[in-house]
Amino acid sequence: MNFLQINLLGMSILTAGTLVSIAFVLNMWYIYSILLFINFSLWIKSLNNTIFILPFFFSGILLSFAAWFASPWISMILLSSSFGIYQFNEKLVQTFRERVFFLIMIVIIILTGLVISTINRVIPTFFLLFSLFVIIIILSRISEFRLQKKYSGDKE
Amino acid sequence: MIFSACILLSVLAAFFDQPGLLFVSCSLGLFVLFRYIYFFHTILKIASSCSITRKVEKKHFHQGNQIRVVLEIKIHNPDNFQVSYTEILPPGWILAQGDLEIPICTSEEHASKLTYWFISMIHGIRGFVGGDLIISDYFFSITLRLSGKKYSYPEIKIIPVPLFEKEDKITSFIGREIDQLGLVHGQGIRSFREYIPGDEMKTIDWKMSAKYAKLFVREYTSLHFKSPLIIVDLPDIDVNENDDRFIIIVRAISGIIDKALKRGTKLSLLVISGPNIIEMLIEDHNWNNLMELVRNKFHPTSRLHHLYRVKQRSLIRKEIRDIMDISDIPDFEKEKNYYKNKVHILHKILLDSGMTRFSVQITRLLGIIHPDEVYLYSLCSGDLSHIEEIINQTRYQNIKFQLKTPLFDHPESVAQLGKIIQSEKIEGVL
Repeated sequence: MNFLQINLLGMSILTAGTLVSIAFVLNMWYIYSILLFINFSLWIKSLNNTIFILPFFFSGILLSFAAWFASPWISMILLSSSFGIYQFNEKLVQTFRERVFFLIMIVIIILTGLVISTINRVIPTFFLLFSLFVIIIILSRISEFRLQKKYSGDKE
Repeated sequence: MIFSACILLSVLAAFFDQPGLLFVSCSLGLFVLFRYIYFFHTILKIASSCSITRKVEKKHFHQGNQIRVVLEIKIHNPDNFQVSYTEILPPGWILAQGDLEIPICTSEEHASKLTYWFISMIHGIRGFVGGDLIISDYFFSITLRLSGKKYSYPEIKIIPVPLFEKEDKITSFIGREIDQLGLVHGQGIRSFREYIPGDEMKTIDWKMSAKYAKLFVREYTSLHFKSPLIIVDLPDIDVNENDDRFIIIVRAISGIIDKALKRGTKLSLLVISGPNIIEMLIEDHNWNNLMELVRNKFHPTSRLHHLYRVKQRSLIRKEIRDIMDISDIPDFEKEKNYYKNKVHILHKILLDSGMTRFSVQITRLLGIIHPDEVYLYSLCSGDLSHIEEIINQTRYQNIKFQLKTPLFDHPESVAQLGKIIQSEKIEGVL
């Protein structure tokens, strides 16, 4: 299996799992056991073959979504641990700065979870967060452009 | 991948009205955003720590000449980032040798070195235009164009050279025009330079001066009055006893002698057979002496010595230089002792062996006569190491070399000659 196939597998697990979870939304208890089994087997597989870390990450997200129906807090903890395992496995948290960034990210994820669970309505929160993301993307593009300009000698 | 998953989940969240899905999609978006902020923060550090220095042999070059540039680049590079640098050549500069891309090593102590040669087709004062710094991590990649003033040093002055002027013109009565400065100047223009007070007014090139709003002066080629050296390589009796093609060479040489004596010019003739020198006549104009030499000596002879067993000193020196270049790279730390011993042995060979007798004689002869051109007539069959040695000597002394062989049309001999000949001319003998 190559990288693309593994990623496609991960994406299909994520999409199918999401749809199945919604279908059984009223009675979730046995879905947990299936998802936990998938999640743990992918984790164990990823210890030998690192290419399985991305499917594991997506199944972790799926598990966290399923856990949202039980308690948003469990969902936040599962999601944070999935992010943590994924990043440590890919050696993305090595320097002090990376650790600080990771901790801030976890705190902001928990805050977002709290906001969503408090409002408990999707469309207004969706538009609020979407507009925030758009503003951040525009700001990042502007700063990237300014950086390009600084080193290309136009500003000097 | 993660970003596309984020968009997919957020669309599903909006469609099914599920806050849990919105939460996971937002978390994925935040993850991508934080990685981007970290990436951007790091590239700011990398770009500010980047220092580029270029070393060029001289500040003035002639248009069309090869220019060697050694570029050193130092960057503070964190471990997870791949950084590479690609040098950009300004328009009108052509890459002659080397590579323009270099991966930058992670350690701070070692500067990454890039060596390349370029040819400038345009004259004037030009600076470098910088290059592209490509930084990438696990998720993102950015190309920074480093083309500010800080990255475009040094400036090089390219002196114009007439591109469409013939390299040399043979004027049979006056002499030969060569690409050097001399007292007696010829008709050809060898280069242009800026006007210096005291230059003759008639040498000013008004067209170029008008174009650049500066006075430019033409520098002419000079005239030399030297006869060429003709070397005849007799074939080996064991290999080419009855070779008819050698008769073509003998006929050609007789024709040259006739022509030269009718014109009243002197001739220098050297007869060799492999690395064995048979006979020599320096600047002779006596028809009888020359024809006697042709009659008595122009036959296949047995070769006592051969050069193919002796490795050339220039090749040994090149090998040492190559090892020195490799040993600077930190990857070769383990093999350092091996290379050190090899260099030691090669140095010893250079000190002990000295030049071959044939090389010494050829060097002396070229030093005494110092001809404008050397013509070598040979069948070019079998061992060619003596021809290679003559070519090397003419290259060192900057003498033009022409090889004339009746085997010019044979693909095998041409392929063999291609190994030893670079820019020298090969012509057929008819």
